[in-house]
Amino acid sequence: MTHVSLDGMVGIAAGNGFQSPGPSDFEFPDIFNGNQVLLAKSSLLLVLGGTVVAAFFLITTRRMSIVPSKSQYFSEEAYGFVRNGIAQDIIGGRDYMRFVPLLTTMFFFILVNNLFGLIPFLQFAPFSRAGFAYALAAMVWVVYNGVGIARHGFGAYLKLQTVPAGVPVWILPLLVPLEFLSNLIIRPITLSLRLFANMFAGHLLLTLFATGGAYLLFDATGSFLVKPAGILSFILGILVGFLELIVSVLQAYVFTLLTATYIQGSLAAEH
Amino acid sequence: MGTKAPRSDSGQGGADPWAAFGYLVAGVGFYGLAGWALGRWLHVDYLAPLGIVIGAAFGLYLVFAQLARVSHHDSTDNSKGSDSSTDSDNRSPPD
Repeated sequence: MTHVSLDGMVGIAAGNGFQSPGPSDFEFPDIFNGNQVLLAKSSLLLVLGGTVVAAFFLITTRRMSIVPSKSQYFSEEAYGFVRNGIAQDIIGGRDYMRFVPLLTTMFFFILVNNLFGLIPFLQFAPFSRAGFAYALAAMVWVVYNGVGIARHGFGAYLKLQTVPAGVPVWILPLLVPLEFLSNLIIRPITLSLRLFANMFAGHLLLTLFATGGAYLLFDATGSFLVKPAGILSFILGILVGFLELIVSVLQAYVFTLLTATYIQGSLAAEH
Repeated sequence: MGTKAPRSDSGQGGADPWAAFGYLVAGVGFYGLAGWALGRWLHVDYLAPLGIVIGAAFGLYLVFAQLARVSHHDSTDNSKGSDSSTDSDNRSPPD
């Protein structure tokens, strides 16, 4: 069982049978074996992700010049993508520049953290722990409600979010609870669950193909088909890895896009 | 960035692509729960499914109402789009 020592994350039992990966693979011990929840692999990766993003933008923009260096060009393109492709497109008007810093950091923070799931030795996406996704969605919830209340005042904002425009008055009492639930309760839940579930499923798939392939190649006995199946499992694992690359980018984009949509909805005069 | 097509000033928001999901879940959940509670109270067993169906109908209605609103918003946007485009180009912030 040499592969177990190579990768501590892989949880194959010492017994004969194959132990399929499950939710327990997402729980890491504290690095000091204590009870400090903040010092587990997942949370340390989150901090590393934030540091990487901050360092990237600080270093590439430290010496700004009219004719940009290669790194400055790259960082400007990245920033411009979020500014024009998300913030200006969705929020628009005079308001969108205020939210570009938030949206840019959010996009690259999620992106880098998701990509950690594919980087050897790190190979874990922190947002496959639901708690981190909840915290991020809670932040978005506070932001879009905050800017809405600041713009319209509390009463008018509540009316904006709970009273649908363009429907007959007599049906409103029946629809207001739905609009309230949909706009203020379900939004943050789906926002966090979408990110969490995608990263969770991706990590589970990768772990399954990797441990399953290793088990079939090294431990399983029986039919002559066992070893070819192990090789096939590794190949599929690599293909799923490429799929995960797409999912990582897509989820970061979707999360940021929806945040911008919610902010725009809160700022709109009526929607 | 100057080569890009002029954008409408207001942004295109208002069309939360996940609103349909939210409306349906809210409708089914709220009226399903209300029907279930009412059924417990009145000791009848058909109110929960009835509430679910009615909730789904209200959710669908809200989806259609929102789509009608968004398409209306788009058509008014295009009519005034020509004069607001020069405005937004001048106002684009410095890098």
